[in-house]
Amino acid sequence: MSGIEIQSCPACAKTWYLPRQLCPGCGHAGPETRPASGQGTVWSVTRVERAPDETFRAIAPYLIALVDLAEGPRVMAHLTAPAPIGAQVTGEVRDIAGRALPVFSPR
Amino acid sequence: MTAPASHIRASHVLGAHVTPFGKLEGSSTVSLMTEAAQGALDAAGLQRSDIDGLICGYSTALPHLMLATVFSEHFGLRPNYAHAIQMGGGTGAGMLMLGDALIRAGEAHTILVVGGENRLTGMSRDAAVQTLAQVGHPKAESPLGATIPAYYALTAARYLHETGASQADLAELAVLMRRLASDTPGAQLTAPIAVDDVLGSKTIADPLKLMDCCPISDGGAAVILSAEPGEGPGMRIIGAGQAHTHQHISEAPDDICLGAKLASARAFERAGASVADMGYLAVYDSFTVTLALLLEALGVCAPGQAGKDAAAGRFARMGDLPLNTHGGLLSYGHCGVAGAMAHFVEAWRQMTGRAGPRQIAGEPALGLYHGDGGVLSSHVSLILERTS
Ligand SMILES: [Zn+2]
Repeated sequence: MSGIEIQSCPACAKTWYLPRQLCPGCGHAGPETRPASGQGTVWSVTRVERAPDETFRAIAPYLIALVDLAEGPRVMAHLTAPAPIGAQVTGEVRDIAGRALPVFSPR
Repeated sequence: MTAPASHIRASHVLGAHVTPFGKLEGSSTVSLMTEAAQGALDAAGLQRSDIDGLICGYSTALPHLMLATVFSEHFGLRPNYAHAIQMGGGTGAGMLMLGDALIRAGEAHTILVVGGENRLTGMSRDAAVQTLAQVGHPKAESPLGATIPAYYALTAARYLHETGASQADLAELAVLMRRLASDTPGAQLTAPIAVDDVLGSKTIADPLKLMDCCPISDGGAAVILSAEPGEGPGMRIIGAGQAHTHQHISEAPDDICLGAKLASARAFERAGASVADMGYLAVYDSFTVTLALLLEALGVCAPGQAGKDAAAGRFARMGDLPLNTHGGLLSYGHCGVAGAMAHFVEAWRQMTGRAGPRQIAGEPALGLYHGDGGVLSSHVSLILERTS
């Protein structure tokens, strides 16, 4: 699996990415955490040239995208190669600058 | 039905002041708040003892649990009401909306709204960038090496994609703000720039260039709101609205600037006015794309047209609809809370004929002030009316 996890609501079927103990839609207290397929579409993308700190200056410039997962939620992730808005991408959790982060590549 | 708490229908601006913005060596959060507050008192012809309410924001250079009482003690106030609020870049607008609401509720008669921060000299550039990046999600966004410019770059890339506008169109807004700042006393960036200068400046986070981004500044600003009008030309707040659609860009609506539409609709409804009635605009401009998105969401410009409207002179000082005539965050500067308050101070000066040689041509009866915090997350709109 991709290692990317999303949450979904058994009551109203809403899906989301930022972890919570309740459904932000209907308020159901038992959201389920499940793996995402890692298939997605680029919603927006930027190439960061001015990094925030030494860790990221070492790998700058780097691509950060908002990716709409096939399951619905939007995820912020790194891209391994340029991909325009609307491009299909495949991703997984991978090591970037010593951190486990969602990383996508054009397919 | 319960009786209204107060007969007061609108709060009046009695005085306002903005300090110079830029690198102010030796300044501190409290010294800049003091300078701004004293300037506003002087402009209003009031004494410190006339103030019975105090609203402050935050300072990243001086994080404190109780900034309002820190300042109150320092400045020698004894208010009946005082506290600080935090809404990111929307704080200044939120403070003014709160002040208006408190006055209308009868909780205070004369309120000092003040912000100030030595954000430029008080912290390193990396520290400032990292503090501000906390607007992002602590696990899902910030750890990716994302920065505030990166978040706004994501909005910019999407804006250009959806509207067909170009980077040159966005650059027009930076050029406009610089032209306006060039003869504004106290502005941080005054050297004239052209579209090619913006496009040729260093990329920060594509498609945003260095000159698409506001500078980091030291500075302060203050406004005095009152239940009663002062003497001579004045201005009052006749409408206000907020909207909060998300915190993190990951959960922003597809219509990313929706909050501006919702907040302004509430403000216009209370004021009984529409955007077509506005004769002056004071709109948050942390990045060129922020200004473009807001102008379009507020209904001032058609989608994708903000830069083209600027290029056509619509927002010039002598244009149809003057905008941020002090130079905005992009060129007057951005020191946090006071950065967006400067837009309000300038609106008061222009709408009451106090702008001297920079005075706009018309005498607008109504103006719109809009601020946003986070990544187009928190929105505040105020409708301003000139009184005689
Ligand atoms: Zn639900």
